[in-house]
Amino acid sequence: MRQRESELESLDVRVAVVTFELGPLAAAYVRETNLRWPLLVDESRRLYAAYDMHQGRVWDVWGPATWWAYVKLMVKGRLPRRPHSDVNQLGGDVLVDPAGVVRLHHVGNGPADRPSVQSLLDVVSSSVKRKPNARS
Amino acid sequence: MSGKTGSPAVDFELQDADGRVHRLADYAGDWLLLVFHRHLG
Repeated sequence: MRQRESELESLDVRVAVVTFELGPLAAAYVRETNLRWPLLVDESRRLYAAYDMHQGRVWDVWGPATWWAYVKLMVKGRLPRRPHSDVNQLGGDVLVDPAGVVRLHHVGNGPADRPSVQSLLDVVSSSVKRKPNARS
Repeated sequence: MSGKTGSPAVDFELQDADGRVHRLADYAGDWLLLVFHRHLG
C-alpha cells in the first residue's frame, strides 16, 4: 500500500489508517514505521462495527493464507511484530468518493485478504472517467 | 465488495495518534481510503 502512495496521491486519494489500539501504541507505531498518513484511533471499535469488521474465525485469522503472508514478509526481511492485543479483530478497506458514498467496502477474512491497490485505483479511475462535463 | 458499497459513508469523529480530531466531513470533496488495521504489527 505504501509503495503505491504516489499513485494514490496523483489520483487525489487521501488515506487514513484506523486502529483500535490505544494512543501510546498508536503513537509508537507511527514513529517506528514513519507512517505518513493519519492513524485514527477507534478504541470503541464503533467504526469497525459499522463497517461489519468484527471478530474473525480462528481458521481465517491463523489459516494458511495468514502464514503465507507472514512468510512473504520475512523473505523481504521484515519480521512480523509480536501483537500485543486482539489478534482476532478483522480489518478491511473502505473507499469513499468525494460525495461521501462508499464505492468499495472490503472486510478481510485475514491479514492476507485485502483488495489490491490496482483495484482501488480502478474504482477511482472509472469514476473519474464517468464524471459528467461541467455546465458553463 | 461488501454490503456498504453504494451507501453513505459512516460518519466518524476520531483522534489520531497525535490527538488531533478527524471527522468524515474533513474529507468531503476528496476520495478517502480508510484502511482498517487488524492490529498494529
